[in-house]
Amino acid sequence: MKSVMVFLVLLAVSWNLAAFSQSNLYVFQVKGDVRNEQNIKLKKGDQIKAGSTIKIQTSSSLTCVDKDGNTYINQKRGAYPFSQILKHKTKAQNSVTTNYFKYVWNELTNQSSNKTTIGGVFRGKIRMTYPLDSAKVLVSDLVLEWDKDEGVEQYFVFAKKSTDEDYWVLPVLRDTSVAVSDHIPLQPGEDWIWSVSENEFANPDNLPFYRFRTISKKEYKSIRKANKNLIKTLSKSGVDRKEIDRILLNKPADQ
Amino acid sequence: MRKRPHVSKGTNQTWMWLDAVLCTLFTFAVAGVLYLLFVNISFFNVFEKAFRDFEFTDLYYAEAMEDRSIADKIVLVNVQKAERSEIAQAIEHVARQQPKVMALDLIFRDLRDPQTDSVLHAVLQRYPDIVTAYYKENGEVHQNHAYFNSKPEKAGFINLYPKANETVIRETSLLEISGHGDTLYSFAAKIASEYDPALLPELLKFNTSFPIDYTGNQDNFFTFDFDELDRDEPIPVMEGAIVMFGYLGTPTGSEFDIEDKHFTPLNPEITGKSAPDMHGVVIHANIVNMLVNKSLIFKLSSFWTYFLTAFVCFVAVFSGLKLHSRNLVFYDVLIKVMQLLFSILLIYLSLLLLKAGVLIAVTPMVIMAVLGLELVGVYKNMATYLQKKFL
Repeated sequence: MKSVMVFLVLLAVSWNLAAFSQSNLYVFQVKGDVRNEQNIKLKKGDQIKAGSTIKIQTSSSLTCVDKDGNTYINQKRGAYPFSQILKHKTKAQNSVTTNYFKYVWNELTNQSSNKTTIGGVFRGKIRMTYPLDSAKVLVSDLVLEWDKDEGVEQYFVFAKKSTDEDYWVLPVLRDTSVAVSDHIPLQPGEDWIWSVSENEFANPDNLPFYRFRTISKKEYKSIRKANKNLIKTLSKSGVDRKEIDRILLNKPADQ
Repeated sequence: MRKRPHVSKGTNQTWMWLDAVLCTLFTFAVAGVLYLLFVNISFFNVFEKAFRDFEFTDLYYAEAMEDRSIADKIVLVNVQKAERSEIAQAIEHVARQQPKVMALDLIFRDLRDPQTDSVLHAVLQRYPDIVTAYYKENGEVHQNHAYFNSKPEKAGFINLYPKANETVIRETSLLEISGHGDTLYSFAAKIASEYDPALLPELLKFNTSFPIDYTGNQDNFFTFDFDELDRDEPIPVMEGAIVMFGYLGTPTGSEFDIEDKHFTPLNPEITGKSAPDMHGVVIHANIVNMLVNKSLIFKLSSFWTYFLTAFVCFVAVFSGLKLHSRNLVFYDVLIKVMQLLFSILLIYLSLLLLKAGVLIAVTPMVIMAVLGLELVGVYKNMATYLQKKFL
């Protein structure tokens, strides 16, 4: 019995030693919302000590580095103890041989010459789908949505109060929506503009923006009541529901 | 009809070796003439200019043939267009993180506003061990104003020394001997020796330029801009690290900002016109990382390069002669395939060697192998003609 106890103690000690022998990690990049045990948001350059736990929220990711320059990328939502973070070490992609012969093959089959060159400018692409331009939105549950482009993994939402100078830039990974109120403090009665780009350093002058005005629950109820009355009046006048929706959404009539 | 004299297999082999030697010499003679034409005739000079900046081994970095790790010992701080007082505040904030070395890839050449100048002066006096920068141009030294030069011996030159007429920075020089016999260290060498004083005797061995082993562009380093330093919060990664202040674009990483940006082998366009790809401070950071990790690249000397070029040319020519002796119908097609295979194989071997830390100039080897194979037919025709004429 005594020897079993000694064995178990030794096993526990060696397990702990193994867990703590790994040096600390440093945060290299954070996208979205990643927090430590004290619920403090992690930022670039922070240390993740051996034995600690981190929490990754939806559409967020964490890249950290150890003292040998190895990288660990965690992208899925969840709580990760230190040992779990270490399991996400990035593996070497390919050897020189594979990469080189892949390159030679692409060159021989002319696959690398598909670059499109244009001689002109265009002022951004309208990807925004919800809320519609110039909508009035309830502060508490505002979610911005946009269309996805093929092959684009990450988007950056640019938003600012129309009176402010600086933009909030929200990185969104592998998703086409973001709950704004989780990131930006919104108050009723504010006018905002927002846009979406795949380029973190997009020139805002070249982006098309949608507007929205934040409203309170009270204001929302009164607008809803007014709209109900309008719908009733228009229905009585013989306007069909599709046309009523068009009028309410302030959309132009179909040609 | 004349009967063909019997020639034994052994004699044939001997003649082929001799043919290969003569054809190699012929190839070198033709290459010499072509080189003189390219260099001396202005019409062809454009080709010479186009190829001067080209190295096949750049593929190793440009196409990221091997995964790049992140340099965790070096942290870069982007000064953007900050005022001197803001730079002083940033130095103070970084100093509180207790880095092992702080370095400024910036030159404060003139005095400006007395108030902000005095703030910067006070900070530089408080931290006299900060490594500072200067550069030499046309025999003149451009350095910090004496007011900011608290310890001139802590300064290193930031000249990057690409080879004459080249714009791609593949090599660097770590030290120079001044006119007075003093040893002058480069900015990167100064930082590395401050980080690890044991490196100093080793650095003294490098009195010539040598290749840079690039870790990567700024994405492979911890980079901070001033907004991120604004928060009065600790930045643990800076503790015990090398923190280098320099310009990394406005905003950080902007591809449209080319101030203090240079061409390196990491440029995705290895030939032709392109935009510069790496900021000066990132090049210095790559050199520092190479020095502190002691991951130096051994460059093959000119003698061995010429020797190997001659050997490769000989092997190519010998293979071409073997093919020619078979009188194949598709000889012309097969020789082109052989040229392609030789080029692919030579570049592959040079990349494997670079991975192992040995840099060979493979471009002349590829050129001579391709030219040698091309000239096999010409050589054989010429030999037959001369035989008929004189024997």
